[in-house]
Amino acid sequence: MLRVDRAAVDAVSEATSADDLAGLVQEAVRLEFATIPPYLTAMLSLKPGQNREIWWAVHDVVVDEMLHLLIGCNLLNALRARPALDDPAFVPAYPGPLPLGIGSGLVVGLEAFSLDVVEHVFMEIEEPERALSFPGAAVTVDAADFSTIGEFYRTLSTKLAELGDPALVGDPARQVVAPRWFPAERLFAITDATSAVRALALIVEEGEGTATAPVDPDGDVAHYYRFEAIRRGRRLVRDETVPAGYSFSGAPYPFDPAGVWPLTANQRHADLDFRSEAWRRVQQFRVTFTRLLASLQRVVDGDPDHLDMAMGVMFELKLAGQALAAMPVLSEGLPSGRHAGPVFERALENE
Amino acid sequence: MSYLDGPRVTFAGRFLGDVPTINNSAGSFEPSPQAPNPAWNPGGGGTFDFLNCHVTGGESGPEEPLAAGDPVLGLAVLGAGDRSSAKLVDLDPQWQFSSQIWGLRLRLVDPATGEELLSGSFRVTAFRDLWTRQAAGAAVNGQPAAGSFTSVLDEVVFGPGCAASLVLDALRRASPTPRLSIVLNLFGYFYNHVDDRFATGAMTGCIGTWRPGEPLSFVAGRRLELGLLARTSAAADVLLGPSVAVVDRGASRLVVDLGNAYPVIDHTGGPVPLPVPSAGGTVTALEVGVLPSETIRAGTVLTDGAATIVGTVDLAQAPAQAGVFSLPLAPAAAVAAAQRPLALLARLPDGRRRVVSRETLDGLWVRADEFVHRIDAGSAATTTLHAVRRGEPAADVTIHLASRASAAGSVLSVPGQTETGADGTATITLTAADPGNPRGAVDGVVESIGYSARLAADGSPDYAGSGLDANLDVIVAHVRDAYEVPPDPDWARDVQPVLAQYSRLYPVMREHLVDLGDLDALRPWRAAMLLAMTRDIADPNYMPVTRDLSGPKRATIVRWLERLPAARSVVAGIGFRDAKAEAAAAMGRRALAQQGVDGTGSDEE
Repeated sequence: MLRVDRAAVDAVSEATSADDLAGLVQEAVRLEFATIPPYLTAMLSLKPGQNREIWWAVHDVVVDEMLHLLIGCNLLNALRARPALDDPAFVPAYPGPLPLGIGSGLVVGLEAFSLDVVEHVFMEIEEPERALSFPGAAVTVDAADFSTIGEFYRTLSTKLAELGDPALVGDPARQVVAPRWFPAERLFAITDATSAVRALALIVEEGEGTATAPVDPDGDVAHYYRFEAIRRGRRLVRDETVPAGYSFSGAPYPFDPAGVWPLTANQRHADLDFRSEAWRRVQQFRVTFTRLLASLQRVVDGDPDHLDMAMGVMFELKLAGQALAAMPVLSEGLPSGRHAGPVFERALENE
Repeated sequence: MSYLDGPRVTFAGRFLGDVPTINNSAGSFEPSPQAPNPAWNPGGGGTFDFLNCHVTGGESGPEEPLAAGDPVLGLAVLGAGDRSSAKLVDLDPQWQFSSQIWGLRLRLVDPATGEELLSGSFRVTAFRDLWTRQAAGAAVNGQPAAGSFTSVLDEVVFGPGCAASLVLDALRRASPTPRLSIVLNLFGYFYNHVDDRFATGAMTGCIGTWRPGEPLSFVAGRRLELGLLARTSAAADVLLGPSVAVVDRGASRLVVDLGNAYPVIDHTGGPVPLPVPSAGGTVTALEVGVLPSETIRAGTVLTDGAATIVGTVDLAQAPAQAGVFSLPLAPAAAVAAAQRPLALLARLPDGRRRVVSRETLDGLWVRADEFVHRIDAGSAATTTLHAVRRGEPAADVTIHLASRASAAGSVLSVPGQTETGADGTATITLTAADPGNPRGAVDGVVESIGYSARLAADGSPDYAGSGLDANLDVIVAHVRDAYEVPPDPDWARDVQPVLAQYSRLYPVMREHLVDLGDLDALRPWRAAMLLAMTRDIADPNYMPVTRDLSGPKRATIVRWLERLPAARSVVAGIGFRDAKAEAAAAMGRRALAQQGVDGTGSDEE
């Protein structure tokens, strides 16, 4: 489970104004974004035409995290704080703790897909405070001597309700609403406390499910249980034959370990032969990643229509990453047996 | 004015041109169970970008080269910062000589701070003046040819930091509109996988001013033809590519653009060093001059003093200044240049000069501005032709045009001739009939129109001394087959055949994102497809990247996509445990087990 620094939750509780919350919400936005590189790396490691169901499962979680990022930015803008995405401090270093996480907690790296990564990283990131237990699923018991991301968001939600509409008077023109990409019931303008509370509930439920069900109110399986289904190799389904109402007895989730590129874990650009083809493709990936951050910044800086362009960059990033992942790495001219992994570090200049 | 005769900034570096290559062969368009010919880059995605490209020089005014401390030196030349990369796209498998750059936003950025000092949208254009530039061949990189893209930057924005740069400030003050002129000279392209060089090449470029009325895709100056710089052996001619010069009367300068003309040894871009041995005498220097008369031809050897020498070009300086040389023009030379042909001259050890390259006949040069078209059957396009004589707009010039269509007949209607107006331009309309699908799997036809200001004895355009290449300096159009958008497009009948072809030709999409020919695979990408297929054609996200789909066929796919129900994620949604299905499957397994069938076939006798 992602253990959130208790001090962050306490700071939310003690906030008396929109300004007090801005820095904390920015960290939450960083956290939502910080989950994308590990998920995307795993997704990119899946070979073309193989393990497609898993590819889609991870892809859809990435899309949800993008949505959560935009929701967080809408909240920041509603609080009259400028989201800082195109900023050197925005992207965390990998491997490392996630934003808001406590230092001794989960260390997240960038690795090729494996069932082990799903269980020990992805499920940990998304794990609810009290994971529900279903036939086939591991039972999780955690002592709550630290805070959780769910608790953080719930505290934030309570605080926003308490501060009320006067705290949420940011320029409505800076709110991102994009029905082409996200349904209006999932991405909407945050203009008052009611819409803020609704938006935060959505983030928690898409990640964790609700307190009593592994699905969000739309009926979509929450991220944690989606990853658990991959880990167990069977989809989670409604099941009237068991008391919990759900079981991991749905269609199989086939996984072929041979359908994964042997990506270098936590690839460092400097570890590649300078000016090798893999080096250049990593640079291409970094420049495209930087363009994605800049395009998203423009979207949340009052040009919401630019999201179309940002989505174009996202496609380009996927293509750049897939091409990179398919590339065997040579070391001094000889095959190293590994492929280059994506590097989520900013780079201005393509080389 | 152009990038040649005002303040200018030059840059050098490399570029990425990740062009896909399966579509280089028309045969690949045919549906077939056989894999198409992959050629050298089947996985190309079409990306064009600047690589490690920096400002290397410039002039804020005549004889005012960049000061050593001008902050413009070393600025990074970058593509877009907040949207997708530009694309490099061929017109057609049967016309690969007009590759165009689409959707390029160019920026000059301080690499240390990220501050943007200048940005502009590169108007779509194709390369011209394709020639063999690598004198020592292309054993390493594989492509000895070079070409240049001349265009304009639109929607130019000068950042506040420009004030600190003499040259950028001069450029801003000398620009009456938010438009600048630009040239990109590309060479040394790698077909081969060497280090990090695959699908990249070398580049120099120049940015300068633009004035209303000037062409958008070339400098309407004084055209010098391709010539022979040296013949070192029978097999190794060192050529000097076609070039253009302008006379800046106010500043008494002659500025010549050798950016796509100076020969390089190989892909590394080093200029061929002088002196260079040559049949007929070692070439000790390259000079710019004015010929003593109109009748002097390229190759003629002139006695010392016969030509008016304007100055010497030091090719070693060429890379940093993008091949642009600005030479002072003495009054007598200016008078000569106004009346007689300019030339590039090879100085021989005894003081004689061999004419390497000379200006067009009588200084007359016509060139089409918008010279690459995509036209649907029943539609039309226009092209403006510019005529100049010794660099000045030439009125009342008759330009002869002739289709170069095969015997099957022309589908483009163009006037046989047109006459320039007072401003030296004439605009013609190209009207497209229905080609009638003569190429089967490849839509439409490619047709080119030759043009010249002179007629040969047989009535065809005469290219001798025109500065135009008969095969490449043409107006070219991909004319698309007539097609009616079905009221209710059908996947199998109307959509799948088109998309499956793209899937076959561009495996980068099929392998890494979506097999466009597979309905189930396509469904989740509906929103992205709709976005890409409804963009403006100049948008970097436009689909298809190759921009070769006719308007009606594109409208058909858009209409079909609009009616395709939005897919709900098959992953996210919760399903139900299906007891019947499970019971049926279990029954099957039991029955087979009872019969001892394990499915492996191992017990076959």
